[in-house]
Amino acid sequence: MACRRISESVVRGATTAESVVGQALARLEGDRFGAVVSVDRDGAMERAREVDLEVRRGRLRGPLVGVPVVIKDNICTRWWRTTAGSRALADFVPSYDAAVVERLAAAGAVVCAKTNCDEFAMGSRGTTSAFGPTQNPRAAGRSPGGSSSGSAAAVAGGLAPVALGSDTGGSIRLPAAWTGTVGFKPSYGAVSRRGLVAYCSSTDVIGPIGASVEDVAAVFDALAGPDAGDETVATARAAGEELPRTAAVLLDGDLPGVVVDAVRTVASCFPKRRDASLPSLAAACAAYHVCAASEAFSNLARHVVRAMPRSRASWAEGTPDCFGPECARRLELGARLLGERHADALYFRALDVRREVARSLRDIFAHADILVCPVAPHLPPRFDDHLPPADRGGGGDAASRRGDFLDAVAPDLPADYRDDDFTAFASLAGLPAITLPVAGSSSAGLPVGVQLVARRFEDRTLLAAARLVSRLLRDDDDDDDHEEPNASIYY
Amino acid sequence: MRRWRTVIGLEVHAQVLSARKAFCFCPTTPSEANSNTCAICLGEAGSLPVLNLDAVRVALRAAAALRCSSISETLEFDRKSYSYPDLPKGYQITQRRKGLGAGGCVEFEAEGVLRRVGLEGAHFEEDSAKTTYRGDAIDVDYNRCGRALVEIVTLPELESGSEAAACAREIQRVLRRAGASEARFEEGSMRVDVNVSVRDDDHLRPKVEVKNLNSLRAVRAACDYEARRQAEIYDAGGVVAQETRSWDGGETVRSRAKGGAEVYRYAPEPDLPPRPLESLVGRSVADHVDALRREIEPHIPAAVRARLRKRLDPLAAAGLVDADDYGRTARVAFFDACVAHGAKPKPTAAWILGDVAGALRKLEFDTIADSNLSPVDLAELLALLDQGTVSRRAAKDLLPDLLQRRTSSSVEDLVFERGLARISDVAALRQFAREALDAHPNELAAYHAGKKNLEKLFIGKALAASGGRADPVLMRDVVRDCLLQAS
Repeated sequence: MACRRISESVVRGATTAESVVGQALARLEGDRFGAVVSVDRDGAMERAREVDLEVRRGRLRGPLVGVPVVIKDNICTRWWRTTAGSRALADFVPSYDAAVVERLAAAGAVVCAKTNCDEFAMGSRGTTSAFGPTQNPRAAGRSPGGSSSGSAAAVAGGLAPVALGSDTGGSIRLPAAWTGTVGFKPSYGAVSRRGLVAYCSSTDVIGPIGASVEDVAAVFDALAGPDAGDETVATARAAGEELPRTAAVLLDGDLPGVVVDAVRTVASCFPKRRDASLPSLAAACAAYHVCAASEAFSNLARHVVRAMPRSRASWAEGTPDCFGPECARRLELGARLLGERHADALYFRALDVRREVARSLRDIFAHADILVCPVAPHLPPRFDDHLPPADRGGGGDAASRRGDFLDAVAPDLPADYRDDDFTAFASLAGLPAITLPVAGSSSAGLPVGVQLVARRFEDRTLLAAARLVSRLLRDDDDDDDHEEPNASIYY
Repeated sequence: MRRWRTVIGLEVHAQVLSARKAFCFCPTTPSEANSNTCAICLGEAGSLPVLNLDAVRVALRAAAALRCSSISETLEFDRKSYSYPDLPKGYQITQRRKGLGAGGCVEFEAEGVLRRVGLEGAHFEEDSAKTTYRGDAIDVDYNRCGRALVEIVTLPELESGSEAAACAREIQRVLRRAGASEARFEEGSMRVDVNVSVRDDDHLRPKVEVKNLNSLRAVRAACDYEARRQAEIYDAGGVVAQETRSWDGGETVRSRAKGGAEVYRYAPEPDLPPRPLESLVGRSVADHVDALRREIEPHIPAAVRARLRKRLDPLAAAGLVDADDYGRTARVAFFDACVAHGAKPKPTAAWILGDVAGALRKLEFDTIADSNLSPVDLAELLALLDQGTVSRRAAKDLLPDLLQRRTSSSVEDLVFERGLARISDVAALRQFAREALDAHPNELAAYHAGKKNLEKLFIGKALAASGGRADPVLMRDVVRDCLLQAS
């Protein structure tokens, strides 16, 4: 919505990209949420003027023309520092633009700032960045969620209409839920990862955060598509948008009443509903963390090599201390899983759980078009709140095998790993998933998000479903005239 | 003192012939240090590998040529982690779970014995950067980093340094014949690691790896040295540490650069999803490998040697095959063509390996195929020689002309044009004999005084006076006749 309004005004000549971007830059420079790591004023103004030139030549159209975008600081930008929230990359200036940056530029969007994030996207609370924590613009004193904390906060705080985040196990969906924004994790393989600082390559996905489904859909359309530079991107185009009819509803464990209510409200938008269950969300989440730590171990090794002086003495002394504590803990876990604990086959058991999760999800989607579930098992926590460790799934042989797996790895997992209980499974299976804010459902006024998940590569079906739900929840069937406060501030 | 037997396995790394690197688009042409680099091969954050399909196809030729018994249906890659400046990503992309091919064998001759050594298999991986040390500083040249390698691992079936070297040499030949690699030690496009251990009776001791041997001589010497070192330690009641060592030219030393036993933390490479090989070669893998084998097999040294041995002695067969790495089978093809034109196999081989090779060297031709000598020419020349139309000496004198000739006249015409035909006219021969006798009065006197073996000298001088064209048998008679007359 915000995007289309800006874009139409710019194309029509009612305003200029330069003016829109200038206002966005002013807001970004006044960031009070710890959302922004760096602003590229000169570059952004120059790009905005180029957009205006192209518009005058009639060469640019579409919903992103002149739209200011902020992107998570783990996405490479040429000649512009890219830190991934880490000291290790404090002075890293990429020699190339990420594929998504090229695509945004081609669509006429203007990248204005790089946003704060948990170090190397490792965190769910927005607290592990070397550049300090991010505040939640919608819930003072509470976590905005992570790891795309700055992107979600920038949108929620009105600093930018849309942002790019990355989602490895929930890093777009969780902060979107906790800041009351819309966060979309596309199917694994729908968007190129070229230029994304890797964390867990087999689940890392870049996706948009915005104030409305229309905005994230517009950004997704610009980002999606094959890229010869990323072999994991699918060459086939995502399937068309058929409106889903049957929703599977997944509610599991001890959830706050407002979350359960919100999920039921969203589910009620679909003609048919059925209850679904995944054998063990906690085991799936643990398996995700095992995969992530194992892949992170090799993915982050390059930053160590880069940080080391080229002398024999330094290499004899051992590796430098260039990572923050949470990052270092996860890398140690990865090293253990692939090293001395290799014999326990924890990594391979995690891959088994991963396959099991994919199978269960296929069963669910054999009888439903869309899965509706919570985003997080709780509302935005205060910065010092932590969840108790997982309760064990019980009953049946398979469950006890998963129990063994959980017992074996739980002590090694991050403190807040259960934040990802409802998001990790879609990451493991590469499914598209979106967080929708359900307004006014928390008594304390805290944002509540609900998640919709679809079959892999049915991203557009999912977006169509999300658009339908948000329209029904707004109880407003003419969304063209709907005025969003966030949109009006740009022109 | 116990009797120790040496057990050696080879790991051969050869750079695959390809215009670009394994996982990026950088060229592989020699150039200034660190100029052939990009975000991908420098491991810049966010960069992703893009598989060079062409390099895989070429590496497959190596797997087919080495007779790998099972060629993998899918390409899968793994990460091998270690931390060193020569590996900017902190891991090497390699194939751990499944290589290009498993099994296979190499046949070669070592000290006159025909040997056959099994292979564990061949796999595709990327090369590391080249490091050099300046005191404490480590200089890194990333031009080599990310180049496509094929690694060939033999079973531990080699029993001496010279066998190990012969096996490495044969693998080198096979790679060159298959068009898979230049495989030059001196340029680093082939490197060998050896795993050496010793055994007494049936107890195999732990192996020691000696890395980065950059010549066949180093392979032989390092294996022999290491086996002796281990035997001596065991004889003295010691224990050999399982470690990585390097060869300094005289002995193996514990390798400090990359430490001893390493944990490589292998894991699947998530950036390169498994890819069906069929999609790369455009037909079924089995069909493709069959076609490759049909194409390459006739050039594989062991097969060619076996074929040639039916007509030639082993030394000549080996000579034709062995001296000829890059020109594939230039010499063998030339030999085959000569024989097809009616030349006798044995003299043909002898000429190709002897006089022709010498003339090529003198005129700085790399291979016989680079010269203008055609198989028909050589067959014709040998026939003229056989008929007695030209002498051996005259035939040899004609070679440089044939190698460089621009005309297409027959060899026989050339022989007469140059006046190189054999002289059997007795009057002419007598003339040469007289000259020889007249030129050596002292020797003639000695001959008549009883030194009868000086006859050979006069025959030789008379033949020389004819420019080698005189019929030697007739000349002997003529010289004897003249000596009798002179007395």
